Amino acid sequence: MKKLCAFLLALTLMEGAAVGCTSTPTTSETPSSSSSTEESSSSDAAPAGEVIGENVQFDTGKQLSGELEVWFYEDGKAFIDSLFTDYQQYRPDVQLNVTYIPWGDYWKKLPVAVSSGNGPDVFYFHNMYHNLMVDGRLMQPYPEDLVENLKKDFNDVETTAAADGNTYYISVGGGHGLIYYNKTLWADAGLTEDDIPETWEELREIAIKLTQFNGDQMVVSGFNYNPGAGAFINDWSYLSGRFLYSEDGKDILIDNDDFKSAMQFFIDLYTVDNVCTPTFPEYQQSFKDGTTAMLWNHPFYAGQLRREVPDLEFGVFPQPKFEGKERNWHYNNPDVSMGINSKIDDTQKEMAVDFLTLFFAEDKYLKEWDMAQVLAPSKKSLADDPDLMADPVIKVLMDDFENSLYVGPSPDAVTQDLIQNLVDPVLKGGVSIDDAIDASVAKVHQTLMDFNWTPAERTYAHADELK
Amino acid sequence: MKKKWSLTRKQTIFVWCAMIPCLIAILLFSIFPIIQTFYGSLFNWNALTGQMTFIGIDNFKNAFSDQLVGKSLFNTIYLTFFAVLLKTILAFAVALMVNATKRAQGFYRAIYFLPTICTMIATAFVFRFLLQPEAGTINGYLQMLGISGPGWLEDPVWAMPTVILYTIWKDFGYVFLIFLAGIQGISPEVVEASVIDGATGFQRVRYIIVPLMHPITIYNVVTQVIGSLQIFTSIIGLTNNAATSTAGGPMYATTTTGLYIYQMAFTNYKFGYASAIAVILFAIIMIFTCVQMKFADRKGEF
Repeated sequence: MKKLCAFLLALTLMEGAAVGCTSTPTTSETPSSSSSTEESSSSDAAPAGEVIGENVQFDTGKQLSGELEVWFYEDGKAFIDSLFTDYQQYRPDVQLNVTYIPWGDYWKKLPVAVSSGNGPDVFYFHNMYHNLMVDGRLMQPYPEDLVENLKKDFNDVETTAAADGNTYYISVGGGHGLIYYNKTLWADAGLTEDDIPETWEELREIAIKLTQFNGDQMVVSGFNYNPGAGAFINDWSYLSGRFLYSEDGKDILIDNDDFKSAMQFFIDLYTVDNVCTPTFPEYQQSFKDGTTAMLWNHPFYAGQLRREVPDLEFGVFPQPKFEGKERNWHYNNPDVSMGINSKIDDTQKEMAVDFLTLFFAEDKYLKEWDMAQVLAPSKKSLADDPDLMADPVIKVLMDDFENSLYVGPSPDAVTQDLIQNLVDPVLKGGVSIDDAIDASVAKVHQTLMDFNWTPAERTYAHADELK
Repeated sequence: MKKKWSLTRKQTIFVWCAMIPCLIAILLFSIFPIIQTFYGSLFNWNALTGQMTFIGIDNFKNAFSDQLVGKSLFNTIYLTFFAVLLKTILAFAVALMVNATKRAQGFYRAIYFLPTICTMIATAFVFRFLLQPEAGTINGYLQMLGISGPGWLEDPVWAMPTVILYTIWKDFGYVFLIFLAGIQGISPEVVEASVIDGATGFQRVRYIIVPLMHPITIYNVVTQVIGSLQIFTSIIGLTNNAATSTAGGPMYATTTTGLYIYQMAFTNYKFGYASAIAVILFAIIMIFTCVQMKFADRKGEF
């Protein structure tokens, strides 16, 4: 019996250890001179003494020494590593310490580290944390001369500026929601490229065709947005021809007939057209499993599919528009550039800016970032890059970019409020659309009450077309 | 009469020296955070940036008018009541049965205790996978029996009972083991005497074992109530959706107060507000514990 107990205990401990192995630990790296030399030769780093870049310029021969700490999120290693390797080669006297942290931990560790004075000099940033990091004075603005040159080299630099007029980050590539479809299921349903829908009403018909049942049980969903419509929910207001936020950023504007009509359409997809059920497996995973035929998602998902399920044949097309609407308006969710720690001294700041200058000056780092994250490039010199345009997802993204508007640094909590209050109560709780909207408006107001921001929606080029 | 301890000066110094590291740790990691929570509840406070603005009792006013605080407290008490009740009854019954079994007691102890030592997040993920309404194994088996399985964690009505089921499965072994140790600690003479007096099995349990197990039952209930009122990790494991970063759904059906505090602090960065809710939860746990202790005191056995 003792042996059995010992065996069971050992088995359990092994399970615990195995689980521990599956989580991605924080990793620290120092690009060594030998490895950097090897990699730089393969990544065509410019020879010392040369100046890289058109307006933002990086002098490869500049002498700098010291220690520079950089944090990036774990999955970004694939596209950002060459920047670290090259920088180490250009600045051999700078000790570059790079730490990769899994996404979930990153946003807990970064603000605490910076706030306590132990943070990195430069770090990966996402603008959904603008309020926390910029308004919380944990980031410092880019130097004015750098910003002036960035404006010449990049699009939309003014759009991402903070309320105080300073620039803390810029867009390195834009992305907006697309419709993904499984090409195999599409062909099985007798559909061709000519059937790609231009209106949501057309998409409804296609989704019905793509839905498959085994007896009463749904085995393939034609169009899936579980759970709670995810971030797709943010696009519904724009698709209905309305801004999402009030001008002061304290409320959402979804209590109107246009929004209700759009919401009713998406609810009907489930309840009337039966193209999915609220308990069908979650949209992202089931698309990977081949049990969801179509879904809405950001372009980063294309990168995820290519990495995780390379055999899955998928295509994308722009979001359709509602009949009678001029455009398929949707929001732009850009990736933004790295931030600078507000608590570092001038010497560290000089190195931090120098490091970022290389990132902005050399096209290849931005190109690698945009390719990996599947983004429409914001650097002007990459606008017609043949490699980027050869990517079918980026091509669709670029062709439809005119219809996407930058919302500004809206908090992630708003999306979470909407997911909990808007769709699930209607689909799972039998709540009316009117009541769900009332509850959502109240909850989001509570969230935004202490949140200082100004929505950028109304700076959109075609803002006059939206109500 | 209790003997009074008297220590020499040397011994007193030694005792203090031995206690100081622990006292420092308790002060730093328990007392100071509690005081900071009480203090922070009076401020509009972002702990990450250090910004604090005194707002008096506004956080408490907001908390009492926040429907989600009420909902989360209801969920927490609902979960605590059923989870503790069922765990206690079930664990006590199984402990009695295992105690009556002469063979393989070690085996049963190991089997029942196994879930307790498994990683909570890992087991929660396995539960999610098994309980997926349309692709999960459990509903697959039910379907084979001609039963249409419920929506489990996807259904607002079933979500909390599912969490309770998981909690019972996870913590059952610990409660069971304490009960078993208590039952085995009862003097065999007392039980034998009742057998000689002609007591039936039920009477032995009702009039001998249950009263003698009273202090252990109170201990189990108090510790389980405190643990359940603070429940957090298992809710995250069972309901967090990586794609949407939401937990506690659907429709806040599994949002407990512990989870809501976490979300207010680390998603909305309202540390002052989160602290105020934590103070309210602290008061509730305090009241529950005092009532339970008072109840136990009346019996004079705890």
